[in-house]
Amino acid sequence: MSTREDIEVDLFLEGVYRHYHYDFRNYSRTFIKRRLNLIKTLLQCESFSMLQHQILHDPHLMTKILNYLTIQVGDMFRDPGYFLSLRHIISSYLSTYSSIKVWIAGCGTGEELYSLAILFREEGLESRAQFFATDINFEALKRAEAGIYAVDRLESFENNYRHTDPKHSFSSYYTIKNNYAVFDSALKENTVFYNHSLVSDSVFAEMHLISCRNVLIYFDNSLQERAIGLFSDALIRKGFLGLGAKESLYLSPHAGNFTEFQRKDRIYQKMALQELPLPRVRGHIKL
Amino acid sequence: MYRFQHEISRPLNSSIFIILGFLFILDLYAPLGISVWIFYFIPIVISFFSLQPNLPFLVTFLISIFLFLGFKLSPLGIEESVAIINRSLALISFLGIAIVGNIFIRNQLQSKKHNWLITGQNKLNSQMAGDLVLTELSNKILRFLVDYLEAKIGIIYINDREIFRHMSTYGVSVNAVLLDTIHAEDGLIGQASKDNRPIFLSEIPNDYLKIGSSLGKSSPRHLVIYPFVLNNKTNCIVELGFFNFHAQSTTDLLDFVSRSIASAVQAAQTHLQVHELLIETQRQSEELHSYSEELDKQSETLKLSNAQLEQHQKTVETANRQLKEQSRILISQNESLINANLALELQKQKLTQISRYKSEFLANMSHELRTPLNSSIILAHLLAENREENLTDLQLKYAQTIENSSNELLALINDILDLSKIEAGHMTVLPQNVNILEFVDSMEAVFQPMCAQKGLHFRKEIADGLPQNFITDPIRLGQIIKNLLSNAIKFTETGEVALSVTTAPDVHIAFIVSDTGIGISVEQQSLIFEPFIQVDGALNRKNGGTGLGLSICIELIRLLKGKINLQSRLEQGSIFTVLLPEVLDMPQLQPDLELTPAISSRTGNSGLLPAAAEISFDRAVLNISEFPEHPQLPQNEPIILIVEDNPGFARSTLELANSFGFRGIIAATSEEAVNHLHPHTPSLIIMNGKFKDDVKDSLFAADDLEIPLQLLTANDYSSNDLSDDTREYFLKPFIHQKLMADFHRLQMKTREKLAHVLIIEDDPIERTMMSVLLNSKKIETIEVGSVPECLEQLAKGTFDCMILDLGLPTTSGFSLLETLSMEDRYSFPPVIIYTGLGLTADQELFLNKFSQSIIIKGTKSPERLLDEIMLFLESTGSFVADRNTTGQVNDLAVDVSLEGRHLLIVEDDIRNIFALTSILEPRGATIQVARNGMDGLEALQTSLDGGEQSIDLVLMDIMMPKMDGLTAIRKIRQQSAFKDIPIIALTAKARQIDHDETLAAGANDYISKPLDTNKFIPLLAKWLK
Repeated sequence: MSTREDIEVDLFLEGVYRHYHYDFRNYSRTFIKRRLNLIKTLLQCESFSMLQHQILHDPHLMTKILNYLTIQVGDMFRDPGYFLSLRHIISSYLSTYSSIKVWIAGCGTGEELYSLAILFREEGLESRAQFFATDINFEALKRAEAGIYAVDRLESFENNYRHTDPKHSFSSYYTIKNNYAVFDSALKENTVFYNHSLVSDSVFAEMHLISCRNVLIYFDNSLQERAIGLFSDALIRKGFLGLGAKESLYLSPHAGNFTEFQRKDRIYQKMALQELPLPRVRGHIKL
Repeated sequence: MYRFQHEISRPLNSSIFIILGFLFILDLYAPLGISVWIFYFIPIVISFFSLQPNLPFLVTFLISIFLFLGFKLSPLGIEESVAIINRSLALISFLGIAIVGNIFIRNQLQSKKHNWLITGQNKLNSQMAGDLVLTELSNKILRFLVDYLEAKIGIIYINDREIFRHMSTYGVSVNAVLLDTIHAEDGLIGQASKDNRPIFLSEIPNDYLKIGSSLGKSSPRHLVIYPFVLNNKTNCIVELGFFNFHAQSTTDLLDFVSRSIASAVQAAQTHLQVHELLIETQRQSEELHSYSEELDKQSETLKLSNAQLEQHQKTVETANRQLKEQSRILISQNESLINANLALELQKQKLTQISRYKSEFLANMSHELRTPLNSSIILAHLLAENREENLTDLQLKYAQTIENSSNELLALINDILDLSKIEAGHMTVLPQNVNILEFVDSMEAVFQPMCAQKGLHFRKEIADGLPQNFITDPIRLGQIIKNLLSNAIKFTETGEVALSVTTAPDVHIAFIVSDTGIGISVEQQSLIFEPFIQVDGALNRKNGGTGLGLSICIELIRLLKGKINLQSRLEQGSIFTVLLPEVLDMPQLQPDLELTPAISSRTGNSGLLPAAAEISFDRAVLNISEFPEHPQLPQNEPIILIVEDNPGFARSTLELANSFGFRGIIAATSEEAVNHLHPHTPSLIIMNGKFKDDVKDSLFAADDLEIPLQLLTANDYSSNDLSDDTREYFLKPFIHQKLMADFHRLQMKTREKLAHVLIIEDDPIERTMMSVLLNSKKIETIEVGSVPECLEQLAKGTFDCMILDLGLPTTSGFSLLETLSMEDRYSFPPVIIYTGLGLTADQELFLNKFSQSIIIKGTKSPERLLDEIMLFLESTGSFVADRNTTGQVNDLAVDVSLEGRHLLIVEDDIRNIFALTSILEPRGATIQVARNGMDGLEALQTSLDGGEQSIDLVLMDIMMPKMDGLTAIRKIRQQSAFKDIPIIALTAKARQIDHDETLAAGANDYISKPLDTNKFIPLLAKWLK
């Protein structure tokens, strides 16, 4: 039995999908409800149906709501341990490839992209790397492409950066203009910004490293499965997949295609096809 | 009429008339022909300066009268007709001037009126300037209107949500009753607002609003109610009362300023609303702030409770740990119990074994013992015969004693050996038809005389209803009964010994041997059946015998599947009852029913194995290596242990293992599986999942040994639909592959030197390092340092793989690859590029064409090199196919020839390029690749300039660096030369809106990734027509 609210949420998501082609139908239901409740209150709507009415008749509202439905929280070098591990992976493993493709899936406003670009530059692989930064939110993509952040965020960025075994001064990557830090545009020279949806779109290229952080937590199981399937298909054998601190492949049906490379940082390595998982009994035979 | 029209300038008018009169008099006195009248134009012109448009006409009219009178009354001068003509002409001219004057005055009036309105507007605007509060604004508006329109009384109403509220008044008597609010449809005000039209009233009732002053009150004579409208909405109404009313100017002015007043009111209202909203926002902001505080607090609380939770969790974890510890102890106790049990079992087995060894030893001793004994008996007998009669009596007695003693010894030995034989399982049983009557008679024949000798009575008794015959082993039966009877006689001094036969329940026959002898005490009854125990040593010494008789009896009865009972009382006698089955079955093996078909199908035997008795020990365990298919497998080959109780499943798995040349052992239970873990540890265990827990828990304890384990379930098999007897089982494809992979890996592991790899590297240190690295994995290497050496090697033989450094002396790796790809003289093994050089995109593309993998030297490159080689060798070349699987080349269903077609692929991803190439090239197309939109444009341009082959079709990826596909398509379409070239977009996007965008950019069609050949080829064909 679905409650009236559930039906309303269903209809709302269906409407948004059919009219604006944003498919949130398989996002985590509790997350969607929490967000919609917030939006409902903000727009002073009495019900999701009213919200639906407003949204279907006001395209500008959709853009706004999209910012609520896709969470754009990003710090540069967020969870420094993750980036420290990536630095190691980049310098030791990825450096053996003649060209390196990196996909930042759900790049939001670009903090993660610039963090990675900085790592690649510091490890001397900037010219070999090709970044793909994708998100479903056009506005976020634009901001990612701009690479401009408020000055008051720099402190936190730099704090994180300091824990990633830095090779340069963080301030060398940006210039300050009118209280905004403008990041070196050369960092995004090898980056392609694209609107790509993990819900509906498919793999577009072979990847060496995929970083998809704090995106899966907003998906329901079927969608998570799809997304991880995409990553699994896109990665080369022995390619790396990085997830957010609260995410893991633990329960995924694709978990068998990956080995845990760095458990605490949620970094996985895709296995070669021939290395199908074979449980091993460790033990001495006793009679 | 405007009020300034009434301000007639009297001096002007009088001067006009004075001049007119003066001229008329002059004209009267002047004779005809002297044209004094010409000056009549002066008054007309003067009248221009009045503000009365009709004045020139009036003057002209007077002039015409004066002209006529002047003509009639003036003295004669010239001819009269000429004078008439002159004066008529003059009159016409004057009329013309008058018309001009009229127009002039009108214009003058018009501009004056306009000025007045503009002035009013300006005044009003200056009044309304600035951010005014609504009441202030309405005050100023009213004051202005009253002043400017010379009204005597005024009220202003402002629309506040469809209710008109009076905001300010002018000249209204203090004690006048005024409605604070007027509804939108109430009275004249309401009417005016509803119609958006002003209302004018002239006949004002006496009790209407009074204009008040200190001197008295008076009602206005004229009333105007004027609504100010903005966007069809009345937002303000003014009511004005006049004594003197200039309708036109009032309405004009009101109309003129209505918009600005309405706007000003609206602005003031909005201003007010904004202000209100601002306050609201501030309030909300405060609220938000408090909310945020609240949240902070909550978060604090959460942190606290989180800490508590953590604490709790820690407690739980501790408890858990304790539990685990306990459970671990339990498990270990359990384990030690099991171990102890096992040890006991082992001990028991060992004991049984020892006992059996002992029995066997004794049984084997029979010959060794009896041979010397027999000879001593015979010799003693010969001596006792004393044929040569040379022995003394005493000597004779000695000889007899030796013979007797030896005989006794022999009997004793026989008994012992019999028992041992039985215990060692050497005693065979041969069931035969036994006639009961005959059997009893034969017994009587033997024992009747013995009884008679001892003075005892022998009685035989055969009950009614007994079958004539029954099936058992007569020799063993005889032994049993003889033994019992001889015992009975032995222990009976007086009375009788009887043998009776009756039927017993469960189709058994009872042989009862009874006596009236000494009997056996209850305590001793349980002992007498034990071997080597005599109830009473002394008695035995007297009666002789070994005490083994009963033990032998019991073993024999067991062989015959019978039972023995004893009833006895001391001094009264004993009754032994032997129950034997009427029909003694052949002691048969009962092999595992389930496994039998599997065995039979492999061996072609009829189901019974020759060593039946042994099978009963090792029932369901089959060592397949003994089957004829693989008799010559060497001992050190790996063993596959298959733990599976379904013979069909087991067999299909085994066949797979055999096809890889592995020996397999099938165990149907976990215990058997355990038995087969020693002494040769299997290299791989393939096990039905249901045994997992048993095996894991009880057999594998933590240590350093690793056996790969593959678990299967019944679901992993499929079968053909035959009857149960002939049904065959197959592993499902996925599992099949999985197992193949396992076997393959095992095969690789067990092979001595598994591969030959050619290393081409000019640095000797590097070369040695690589060969050491590979040799450590049992890979045989040949190292060369230059291209000619390499070619020499490749001309001589084949390799599984070659590792190529690009930076070689004289000839580069690139040209080597080119040479190899073109010349058949050399073998061309798969290539792994191992280089310290950075590569350009073009170089990379080139290398990707010929090599399996490119590795740039770095800290982890040896690891990756080894990894790639191992992977490559393990997959035995399937890696090459791997790249092509995306685009199934051999898809005949969509076999369209693309012969002679030249296609441009604009795509960044190497995997995709290979997929496309592998689809297109086999169909005859030639391919040109551009790595991004920019390069794509360039390639098209070059083809146009005639340098290259012209391009028939463009395959355009969308997501590319430098210039994306959509931009590239747009740019292509901008050039007239490429207006019609077919472009197919390759897109990862699935939404219709994205596809529409692609088409809108100018693509002819699109196809989604990953490519489906079945759709892709027809699509190509369509656009290449």
